[in-house]
Amino acid sequence: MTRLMLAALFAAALAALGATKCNSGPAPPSLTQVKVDVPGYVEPHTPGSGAPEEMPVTSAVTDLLGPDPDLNTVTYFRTRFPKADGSPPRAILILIPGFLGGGTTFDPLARQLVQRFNGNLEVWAVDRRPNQLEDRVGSIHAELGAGDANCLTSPPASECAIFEGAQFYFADGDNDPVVGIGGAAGPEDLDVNLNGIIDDRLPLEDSLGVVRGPRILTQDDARFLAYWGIDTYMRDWKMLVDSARAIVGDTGLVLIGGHSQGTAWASTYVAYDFDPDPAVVDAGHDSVDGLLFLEGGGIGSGAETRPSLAEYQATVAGLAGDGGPDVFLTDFSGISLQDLGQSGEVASLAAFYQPDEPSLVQRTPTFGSGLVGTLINLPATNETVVGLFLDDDFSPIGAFRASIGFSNGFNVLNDLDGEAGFLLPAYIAIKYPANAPPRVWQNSDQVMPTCPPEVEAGPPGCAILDNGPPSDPNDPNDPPHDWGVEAEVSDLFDFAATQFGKANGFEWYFVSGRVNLDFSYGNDSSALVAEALAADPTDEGPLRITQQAGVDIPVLAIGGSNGLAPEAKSFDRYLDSIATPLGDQEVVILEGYAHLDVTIAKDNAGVPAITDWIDRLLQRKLLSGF
Amino acid sequence: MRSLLLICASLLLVTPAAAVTVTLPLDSAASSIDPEFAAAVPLSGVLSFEVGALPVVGNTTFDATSIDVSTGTGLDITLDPDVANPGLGVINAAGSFLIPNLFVQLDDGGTSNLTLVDVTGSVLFGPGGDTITQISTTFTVDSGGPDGVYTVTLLAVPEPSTLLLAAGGLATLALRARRNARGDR
Repeated sequence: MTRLMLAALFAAALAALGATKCNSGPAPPSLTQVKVDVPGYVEPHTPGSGAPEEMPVTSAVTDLLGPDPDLNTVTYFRTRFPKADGSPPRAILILIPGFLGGGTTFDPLARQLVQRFNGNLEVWAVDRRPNQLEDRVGSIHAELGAGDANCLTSPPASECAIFEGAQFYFADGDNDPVVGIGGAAGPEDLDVNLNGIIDDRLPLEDSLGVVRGPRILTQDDARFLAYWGIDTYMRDWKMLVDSARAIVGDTGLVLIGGHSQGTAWASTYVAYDFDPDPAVVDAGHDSVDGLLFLEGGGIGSGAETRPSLAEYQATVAGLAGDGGPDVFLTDFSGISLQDLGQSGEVASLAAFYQPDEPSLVQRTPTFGSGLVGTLINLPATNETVVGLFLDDDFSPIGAFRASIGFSNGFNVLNDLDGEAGFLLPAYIAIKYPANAPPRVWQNSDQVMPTCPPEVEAGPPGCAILDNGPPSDPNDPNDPPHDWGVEAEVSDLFDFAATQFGKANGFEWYFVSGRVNLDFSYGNDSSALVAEALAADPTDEGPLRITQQAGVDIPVLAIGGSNGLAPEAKSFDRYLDSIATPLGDQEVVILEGYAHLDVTIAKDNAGVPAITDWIDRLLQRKLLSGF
Repeated sequence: MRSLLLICASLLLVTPAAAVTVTLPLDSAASSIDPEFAAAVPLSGVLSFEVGALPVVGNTTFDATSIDVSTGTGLDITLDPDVANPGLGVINAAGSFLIPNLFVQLDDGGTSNLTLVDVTGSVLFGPGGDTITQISTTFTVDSGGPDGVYTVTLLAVPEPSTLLLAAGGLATLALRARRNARGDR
């Protein structure tokens, strides 16, 4: 055999196995990421439980989900690469998304990890229960037709499925008093499908065969969310952990982790007592082999004043009653989350399939008016709007930031003249001339402008900022802050792809009422449990976070120097509160990474650290017998 | 001879178990990469492992610390330098080992990473179990395509010169022991 033949054969084998010179690029054909729905914990008040406590559903819910929905369902996205010999993986990593996040936000990281382990690791990324309530008829229609001829012209035809999907959610807006002749759109109107006519919403056929408009739930449509608190979520995920354990066996690894607020959820899991018998403890940390934090510092100590058992029960009863306090979050920073969920999916679809076309989402009320419309008040392409909304050089919301490129074309420092300094580093496009051509985006694979050294404040006139040195690691009074040279590590299209398809990466109905109540106890609800046991010695009560001090499993914490956990001390509060030996507490800070980069970066610098951590834990586990 | 063994035994008793590095060359005649639909190509090179403790009691660590294998036709296989601990494994007292994830790098002019999963094999222990005299493993790499499955066989043993030296040493010891037994000083 010649050298060339051997090299060619090996190259074919490597291609098939997904071996790459780095972790980037498309996933190998055998790698799959599929949505999995399995029965979850049977919370008795939840529609479909069959229990006497089951709450009735409203017509909005049955219109959306059919006549007999069973909402006690756990959904996760399983990333796997079948091993050649058909044997199971040796490790499964379960990941919990952060505030408003969905499981698909882990897709890029999961692909890289699973590929790196060549099938010996699976990643299960959880979608919390409320994702079942999202009406995705419009986005599914849009994606199914995105490749049709109507969508491939420039500009796309008004019958393009992406336009139709958007119009399912959003009627054209008529910005009175500028109304065109005969009711046609005027220059200020929001004409979603560009047909020059003010259209109503477009009904589409759903999976039940019903042609209808969107179904957006009200608070009273979702009162059962009063019972979707930490206890319900923990028991959902315990079922996943047990399923994972059954696959990997006693000598394999089951790991749990999260991103951002997902670290609070994951750390609550390991501190939870699952056994209903007050005399028996079934601590969450005993069921997993390690805890992974991504850009989040875990669960804190909670509120100073915590509700008594009676107050707790009264609050839940209030949440469950019609007209009660909100059970899900309606807005964030003045933006309707349900509107943002719909427009985010539409915007991502348009950015992915029609990146260079004038922005579709700016022709919807969410981005075309209101707060976002004011901040991104410039003609932009589909790709650019997503970039301006999320990029670390433009977004004012740290939790939504990623390093996905830049939009240049004018010098912000000159154009703003300091007039809008309070918004920096915010949406820079405020002063962009309205009659200019659509603003374009430079994806992160292009050369990014670097700040000249004399730019001290580092407003968004450049993509690569030097944030200087970190805080004093030995001074607890010197709080952690951004430091180091920023990096452009994430691909806008990779992010956009996480927002549509098998699911979106957003949680339209983030449970707030019950979850906020539960999180007020922080990492210890022992007093509530004691109160419950005093009332009934057989019942530990509604919230059982009692095992925090016993958490002794290995922890790997990864932060980004341009994120929300920028320094090692960002994790001190949690690490100091658990019993894990110092040798099993590891912290890695990725210089230049913003908050979302740790999950979506293209050649994720966190992958080697996670890979090494998992491999070492696996060796340790195997020493007990193989 | 008995006194020598006693000294060795006493050393074992007072010395705490420590990691032992084992380096053995491949036997090219018995090491090969064998494509399913083409002729096998011999492999040569050196394997180094760090064993948690010898003799092995129960299970201990068995880490590949260096792999330097070549086909002689321009393809080199080494441990992946991008992974901090690319060859972590375990071994039991019977001499069976498992490396669940062996991260290697292939270089045929350009480099590629490959993770070999569940690499198993066995070792032969020397007298008393405090040395390793042979490492062998066979694993397959499925191309997933028309090239079929590659079977990789590695057999690492001391080089013949080393074997001769060891044999000579043993023979000398045996001869001296026999003379001692006869009182022939």
